Amino acid sequence: MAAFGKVLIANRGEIAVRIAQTLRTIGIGSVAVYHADEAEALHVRTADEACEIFGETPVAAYLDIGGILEAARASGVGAVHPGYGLLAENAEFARACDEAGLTFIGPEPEVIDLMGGKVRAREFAAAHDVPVLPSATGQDGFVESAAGLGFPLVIKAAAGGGGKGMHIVRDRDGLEAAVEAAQREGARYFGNDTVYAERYLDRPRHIEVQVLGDRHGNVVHLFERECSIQRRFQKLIEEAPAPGLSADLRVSICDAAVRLARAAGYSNAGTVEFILGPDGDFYFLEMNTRLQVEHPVTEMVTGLDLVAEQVRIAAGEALGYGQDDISQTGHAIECRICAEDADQDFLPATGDVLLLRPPAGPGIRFDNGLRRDQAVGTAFDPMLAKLIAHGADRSQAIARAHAALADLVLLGVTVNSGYLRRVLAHPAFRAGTVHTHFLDEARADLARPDWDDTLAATVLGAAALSSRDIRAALESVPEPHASIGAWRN
Amino acid sequence: MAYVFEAAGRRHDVVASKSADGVVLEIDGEVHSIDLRSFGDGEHTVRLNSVARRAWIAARGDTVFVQIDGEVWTVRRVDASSAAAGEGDAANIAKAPMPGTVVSVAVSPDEPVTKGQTLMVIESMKLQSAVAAWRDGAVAEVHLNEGDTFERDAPLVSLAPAEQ
Repeated sequence: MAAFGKVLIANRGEIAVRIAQTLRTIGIGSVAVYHADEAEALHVRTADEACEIFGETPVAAYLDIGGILEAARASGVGAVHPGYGLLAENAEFARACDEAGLTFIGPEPEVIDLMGGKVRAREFAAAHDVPVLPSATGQDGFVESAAGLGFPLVIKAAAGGGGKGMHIVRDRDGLEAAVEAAQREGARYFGNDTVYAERYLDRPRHIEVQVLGDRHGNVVHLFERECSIQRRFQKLIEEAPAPGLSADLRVSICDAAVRLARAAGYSNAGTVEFILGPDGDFYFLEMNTRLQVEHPVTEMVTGLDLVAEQVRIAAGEALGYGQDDISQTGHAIECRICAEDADQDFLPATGDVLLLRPPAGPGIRFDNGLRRDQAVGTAFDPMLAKLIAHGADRSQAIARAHAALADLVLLGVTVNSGYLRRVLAHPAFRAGTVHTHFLDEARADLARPDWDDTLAATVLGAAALSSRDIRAALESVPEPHASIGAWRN
Repeated sequence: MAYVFEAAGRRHDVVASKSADGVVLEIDGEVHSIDLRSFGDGEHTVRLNSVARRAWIAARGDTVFVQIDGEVWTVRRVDASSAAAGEGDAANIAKAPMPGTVVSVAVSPDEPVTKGQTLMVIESMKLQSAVAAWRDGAVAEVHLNEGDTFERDAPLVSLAPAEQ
């Protein structure tokens, strides 16, 4: 496949590396872009060519549409792959690529716009028989229409955010007071006392469906992923398939996703996100019109290369296979390796990568943009790498991920690999009974191992004896006996 | 030789010495036989008493990262003498291992000092420690006065570059 001579990768980090790797395997040239701060980054070295882009901050450079198009012109590419984040869901960027005669490897700008607006997307979903959380708005008779949704429900200030003006109501008795409180808070914090009510799901699961659509009207799904392990509404661990879904429910959710994508005329890889209630009721959350961070788990179970599929679709090729041709083998789990202190409220961490040893072994994939001596600052997202483990079944995938997290050595900046291992070892995770509030609820179970005397002595002994000055001081001490167990370094 | 380490939010006094069996570490008053073997590229085994475990170790400045059994522990040297463990230009400057206050200053510029001589006494986290000369030489600069407060890594006392 050589539809495009070269593709510019408008991204950085692990995803830019990953895209460049696929482009190489399908015989297409790759062009990386980089800010001066990242001139030595792995994605720059992995791509065939690299163009510097400019901005006051590194992120500003990666978001500068004009600068990226200039790099595309200078390098003579035929298409642009946006990766995820940054400009990936920016309709203006997709249009600008089009106007510059470049193929944007993603959906049409109109579809990005449609799914980018929360209210628009929700109305579109509801109009196409994709369930949305029941909600009530308006002034007259609001309390009654809210009560009609059923309990529990949540009252939100329409202009609100960050949890302010949000009230969970468990029964009819508390409803009026909650509505009044939300109105008061909306007026005070946001200057707007409009409120709305939405059904509230206790302990929901996050289930999403990978879809692929081509430019000939074909849409298929690549099954679902579960992404309920989240902190601060961001995913930490994802897996495919979702554990414990009944066959009927799996079909219903996947069909709903395909229905939505087909109705939207979707072409590209995309993800339809749902929340799933304890009773098996599911509701549309949003559609991400791009490659997803957690796409590798789907690749591991389906054997498809989603980046290669995106390129083929963008080049105008038909999918060439139907739903029945796609099957899943085994189970895959992804752990996001982030520069953060999971034991200090996930505080972002900075430092230098002093030691790096990627994990390896059967079924292990490690997507990263890391190099030794790299400085990890706060300029970018704290996610540094993704560790993906595939196994014949879920327990093998968990075991492999658990072992690989210990094999991963990334020293010099605090990362969450130990914490992720503790999550994988938790009985509720093993049982597949987690939900999006799990990490909060299980906080005590997920604490670091006790710093007992043995652990302290082992760790401090290792630290002390690896310190050059302490070793030198010990060596200069007259030896009480001729022969002493020496250490080497 | 006595050292102070901080790890897992706690301070530990470590005294290192040798015995017939190898290195003995007294940690918070408890004695352990310990041995560390390096296999290059940060890979080690650390033997505590009779049990050896694989450990990955990397260090920068006064901070040592130790990975054992999938958990990484960050260990910080807080004894004043570790400040002299730097390399290059840093070998001439004692830097603050953590934020604190100057309790007393024992030397003045151009004064000759001998290794081990106290240059300054500082207090951090309610613990006093002496900043000792890490080699023979002459004081180049005393960066702070008695009573001054400082942040981590602040220069405390500099020695004139060693003669080659």
